[in-house]
Amino acid sequence: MSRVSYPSLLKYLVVADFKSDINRYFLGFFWWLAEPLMYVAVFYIAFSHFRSDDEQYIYFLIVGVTTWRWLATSINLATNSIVTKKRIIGHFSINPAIFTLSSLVTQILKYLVILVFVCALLQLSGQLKFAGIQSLLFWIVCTLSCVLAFSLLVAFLVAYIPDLRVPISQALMLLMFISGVIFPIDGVSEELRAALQFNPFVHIIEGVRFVLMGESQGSLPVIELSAVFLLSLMLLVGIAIASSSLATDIPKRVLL
Amino acid sequence: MKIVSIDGVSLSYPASRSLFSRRKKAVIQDLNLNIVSGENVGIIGRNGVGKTSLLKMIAGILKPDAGTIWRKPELRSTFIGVNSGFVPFMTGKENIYLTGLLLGMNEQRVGDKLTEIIDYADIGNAINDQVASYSSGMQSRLAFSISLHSDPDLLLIDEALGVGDRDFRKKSSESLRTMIREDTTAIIVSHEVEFLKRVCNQVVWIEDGHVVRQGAPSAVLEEYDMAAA
Repeated sequence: MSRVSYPSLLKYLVVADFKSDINRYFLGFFWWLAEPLMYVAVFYIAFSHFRSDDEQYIYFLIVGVTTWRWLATSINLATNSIVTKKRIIGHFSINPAIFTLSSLVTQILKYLVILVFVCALLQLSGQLKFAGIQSLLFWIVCTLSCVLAFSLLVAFLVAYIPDLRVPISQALMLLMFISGVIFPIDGVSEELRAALQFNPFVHIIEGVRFVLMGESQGSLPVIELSAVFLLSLMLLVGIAIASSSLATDIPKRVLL
Repeated sequence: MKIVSIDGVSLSYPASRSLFSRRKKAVIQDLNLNIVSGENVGIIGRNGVGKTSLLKMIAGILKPDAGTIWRKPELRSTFIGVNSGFVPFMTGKENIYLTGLLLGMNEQRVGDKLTEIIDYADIGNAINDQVASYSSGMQSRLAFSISLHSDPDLLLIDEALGVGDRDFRKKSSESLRTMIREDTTAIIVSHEVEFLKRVCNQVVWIEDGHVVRQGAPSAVLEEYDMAAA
């Protein structure tokens, strides 16, 4: 068996992903920005009349929707990241998690471009109230561990049970409505708010709003994000432990 | 010198994708085989007897359910199948880089070998086209060329040379003979008796996941032909 250099392979797969994205569409990477902003426009048109007294609502939506699109797209693409590479998995002795990781890195880089654009927009409108590098780094570590754990989990699950692709996609749509992306969760009933504390995406969305827009958007959910980080870490350890037997089984499953 | 030792190996696949099915289909059962450095070993048998699965286990792509496969430490093996492991929407050149990395080469080494790989595959300007537009013969030529230039110790070829044209088959046979002289080992799955006679030192006949016969190509292939008739 050859010793594959995973960092080189990861870099190559990410570059290939970008090239394919640019070549696939007439307007190429313009869509990285246009797609999430179109989502913002749709939600603003549909829901702004419920929040007519909130002048910051558009910025609330921009930060929430662009971040949510990144999270949801990353997890959605992760569901297919292993099964679509079955030709490679059937030909080379390789850890299939590399394909999930490359898909995730591609989405992170796209989100960074969007984030710079969002920051510029907030700055121009006087809404950028950066909460500091410490808060940003804390949010990044918690969010990345969560999205990585979820992505690997769904990628391996779908490799075993392909039927799960549809329910996962539907669950993500439901999560969007209960993660404070469109409305702040303060507005919901006490019972529902207590239940939503168990949804990690609520804290991720609240966290990014605080990091970019400061105290006008509440406070940084430190305890909740720490819990998200710890649970994600436990999930990642579980996946790592299971990965030796998963690596044995996955080629058989995807080659069926 | 022994480079691969297969000892009591068994392999089965799930019989269906259904979550409620526990049934398994055995493809290899208690198989024993030793591969010695510098040999060309042919593998023959009916469709579905486990030839491809055996190659994939030797390559480390599939892990056996039981038994052990010992490989010489640091053994560089390359598997070439009829359906190459190429990414269809990438060009031939991009797939050379990707395959090279998957075979353990670094980018610089792939770059150094790029011209040789393209020249050997002899697919002209199509190297800049997406692999999705390639015929199976073109894919095999390119896959064989990359594998050849990755300097493997062990080539595992699954029917891949059968789909090339006459000139390419002649060229690949010659390359295999040269590689044997240079101490490379090849295990070739093929239904082409004459091809196996021409390039192999020994042939293994597999039926129902077991080794039926193993030995000199002419003797084993004659017996296989008689059984098939």
